Amino acid sequence: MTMATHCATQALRDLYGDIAEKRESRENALMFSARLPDVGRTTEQVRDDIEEALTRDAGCNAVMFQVAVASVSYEGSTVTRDRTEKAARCFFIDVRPWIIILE
Amino acid sequence: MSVPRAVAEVDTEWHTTGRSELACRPYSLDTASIPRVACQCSSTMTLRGGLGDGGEQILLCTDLDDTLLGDAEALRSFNECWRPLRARGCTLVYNTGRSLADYLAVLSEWDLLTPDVFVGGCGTQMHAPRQPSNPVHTCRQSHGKTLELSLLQGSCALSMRGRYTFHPPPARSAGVGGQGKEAVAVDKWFEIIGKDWDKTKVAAAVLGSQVAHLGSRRLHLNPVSVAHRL
Repeated sequence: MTMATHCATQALRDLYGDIAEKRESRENALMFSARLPDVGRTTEQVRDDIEEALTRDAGCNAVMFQVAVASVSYEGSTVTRDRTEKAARCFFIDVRPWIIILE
Repeated sequence: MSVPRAVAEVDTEWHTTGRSELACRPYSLDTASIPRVACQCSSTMTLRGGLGDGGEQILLCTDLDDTLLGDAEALRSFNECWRPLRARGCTLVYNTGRSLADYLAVLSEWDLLTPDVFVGGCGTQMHAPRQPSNPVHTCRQSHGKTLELSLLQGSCALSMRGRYTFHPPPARSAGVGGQGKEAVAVDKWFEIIGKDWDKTKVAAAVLGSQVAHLGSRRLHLNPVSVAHRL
């Protein structure tokens, strides 16, 4: 896939607006982390949005990555309790490859 | 070193279900450094199942922010609890979203014990700070078995199981990604990961045109080989 095609995948930004990659993510080639604004989606919907963008729009192999979604509030628990929880302030997402270290 | 008899996870959501022979006093978040915090959280860290009198070894896997970090007095209490356990061979693991660099930076502010294993970057970084040379390798040696790092269910799982322990991705009943996540043979798995993980592609899909500045920055790599270089 060419870089031009990569840049054409605007689906998530069209839906969420300003998405910011987290600083520590830029230094880590094995992880992509970003902050998504709260646009009324649930954690499960966010996960589906991410996976759809990666698989359907960007053509990524669905078995290569895992998407973790956390609702972040700074007004209590910062842990997502269930799949229907909506963001109190924003979402943090982590996209990582599945890796297993063997002997 | 024998295999730990108990494994505990500590987070702000963590609760005890058994005897509590290792307990820190309830602690509250240091809210001064976090803007707009409106509440005080408290939890008591205890070990599930407790400790017997036979000097069992345990492995304690704990988050850092708002868990060990946040209350200096509670951290001191935890350290006092843990030191005798360390002396008898128990294993302390920090499992955090912080990068190794961010973890090292926070050491100047907090009196954290040096862990036996540091798992950072949401499971993508793994170090054994108390071991010289290759941390992953020596960590394996110290336990006499494979120390397996697998990214499962959004968290890092450390296990002392035998080599080639393989956990297939969790099946999901719906969703685009879920449809392709059936169990895959180990050999096939490595082939897929090594070939297809490309952070540039992931970043482009999420950030859209924002990622154009990445240009020729090459982020594609084999995560397995990288993990072995840590």
